[in-house]
Amino acid sequence: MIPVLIIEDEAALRKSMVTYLESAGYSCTAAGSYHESLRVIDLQDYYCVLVDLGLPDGDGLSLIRLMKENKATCGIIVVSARDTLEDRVRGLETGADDYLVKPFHLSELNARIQSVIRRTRRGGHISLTYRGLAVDPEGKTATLGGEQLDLTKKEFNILVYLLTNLNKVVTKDSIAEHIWGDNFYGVEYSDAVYTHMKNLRRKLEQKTGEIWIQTVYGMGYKMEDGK
Amino acid sequence: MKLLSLTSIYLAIISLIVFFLMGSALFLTLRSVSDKDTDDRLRQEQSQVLANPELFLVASMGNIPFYERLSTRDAGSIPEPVWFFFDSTFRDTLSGERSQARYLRFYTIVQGDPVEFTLRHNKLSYPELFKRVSIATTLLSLLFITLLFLLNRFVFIRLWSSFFDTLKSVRSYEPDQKPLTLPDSGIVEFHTLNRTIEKMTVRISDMYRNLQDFTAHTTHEIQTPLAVIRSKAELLLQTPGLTEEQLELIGSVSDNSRHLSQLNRSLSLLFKIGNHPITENVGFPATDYIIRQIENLEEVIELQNIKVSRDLDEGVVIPIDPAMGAILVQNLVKNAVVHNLPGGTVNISLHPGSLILQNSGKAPAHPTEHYFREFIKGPDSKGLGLGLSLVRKICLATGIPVDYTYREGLHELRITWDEKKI
Repeated sequence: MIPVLIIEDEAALRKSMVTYLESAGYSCTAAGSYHESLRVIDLQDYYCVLVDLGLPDGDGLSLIRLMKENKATCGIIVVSARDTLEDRVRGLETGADDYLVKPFHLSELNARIQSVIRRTRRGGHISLTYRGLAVDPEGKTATLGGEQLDLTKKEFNILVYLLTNLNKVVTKDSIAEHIWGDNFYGVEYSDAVYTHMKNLRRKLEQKTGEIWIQTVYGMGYKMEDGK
Repeated sequence: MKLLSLTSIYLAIISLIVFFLMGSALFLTLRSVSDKDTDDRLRQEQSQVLANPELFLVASMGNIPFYERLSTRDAGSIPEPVWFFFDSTFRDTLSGERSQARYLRFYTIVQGDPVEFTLRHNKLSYPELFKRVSIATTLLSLLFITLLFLLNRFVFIRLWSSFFDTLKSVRSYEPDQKPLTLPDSGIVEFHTLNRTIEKMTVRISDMYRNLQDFTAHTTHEIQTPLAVIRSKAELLLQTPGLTEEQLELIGSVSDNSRHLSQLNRSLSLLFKIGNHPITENVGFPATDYIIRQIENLEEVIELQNIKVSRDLDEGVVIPIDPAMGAILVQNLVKNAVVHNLPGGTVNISLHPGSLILQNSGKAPAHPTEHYFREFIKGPDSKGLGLGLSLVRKICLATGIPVDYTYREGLHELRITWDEKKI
């Protein structure tokens, strides 16, 4: 179990994050305020800390500063409703490894946590494995049964996204936002997602003869680990 | 029309009417005075004749023209009235011209015979009188109106100067500025006006600031509940064994929360741009960014079979804050691709001083200027109707003109800037 700390003052959102992340294999500690965070911050060697900037009794940025002063090795992700370029830059300059703007997809949050952990904790190269598939997200390589898979950049990113959220329904919207960002609202990306997904599936099925990516009616896709 | 011109025109029209009436009255008065004078003189001469009619009877033989002897009339049959005036013309013996004259005819018994006397006096010539009165009146009125113009101008400039100062200040006032402080005026009305405007700008600035705070707080605070809704929908989606109907419900919740959140984000952006400090001497390198935006839309371009042609100069810089520049270019490119037709075209050309995007598309239902307003969008648009509003707002804030035209099936958005500003 990967230990993560969630610092978020909105109880309902905190609960959703805990539920999703625990079902994705994390062990979550949650704090709802600045002072509560101070109490739990040294309890464990967290792999990743999620920090909301607008806490009722303090500033999330000073928490990050505190962690950096104490030479914490954990990855830090800011989760905030503040979305200006200045806010992002300030968050990253203070020491955060990533910045996620509310509202976000839980599947995206999971993907960001995984990415940060890979970069901060494991020195980058770590493979995601699934049946005979081995994917190195940082090295941008995917092999199936030892054989190189020829995927486009977007197909590769979608595959990593699905593998990160194994056993979860991943919505088309969240895939589109993950691949293209959220600056293109109003652009109809679901056909584009469908096209990439069709190609990805075809490439996987040609080699395995099995359907690995399930379609969830009208909503999105799901990869199950087959247990 | 300017206040000064309008006042001058009114004064001129009123003066002309007054002078016309005055001229007419003068003419009529002069005419009646002159007529009365002629009549008085004729009556005087009549009494002279009646004092010694015989003398004049003899004199008439010397062809004195102002009386004539009554020809063959029976004695004692003098007609009624005994005397009367009448007007007629006569031929001037010297000039040979016909002139207007006033006649007095009377009857009396001279040496037992009834005699008719007719006295005549030249009358003032009416056309001549009219001509002179008209000339005098016209000259006077011209002089008067000229003086009036000059006086009006002088008074106007002196008295209304404080009003024009106020007008200038009010015109340059923006709600995000400090309230206006206007100078004192010695004229009560203008003083009141200035104080009233000052109070109004205080209220406007207050309201604007409140609205700003309110918007900032609302847009910020609303994102957290939206995050809750979205996360709950996503968790619900993970429940095993959902029916299609349930999936549709969750999808609808998700879509609408996403829509609301984007709306909120764009509105907050629109609001922020208006208050964005304009940084001088910064530039946005547009060439590479445009290429990246096209790449980001490549699937849509392919699926819609849109032909994109680009004519992009290397290293073109738009004199604009980089963050604003990114939003501007993103919205322009997205607009050209999304509001297109299957198999349509997009032409993007970027040169020093101008960025032009043309795209095929349906003819606009409203005048093109309309689409710069918030929430105005085409019937098929899935967006928020805020893209072009953002474009215009950024251009307004940075002083870069933007033009939208539609010609021969092509929508064209053109922004131009001064290369010297970079």
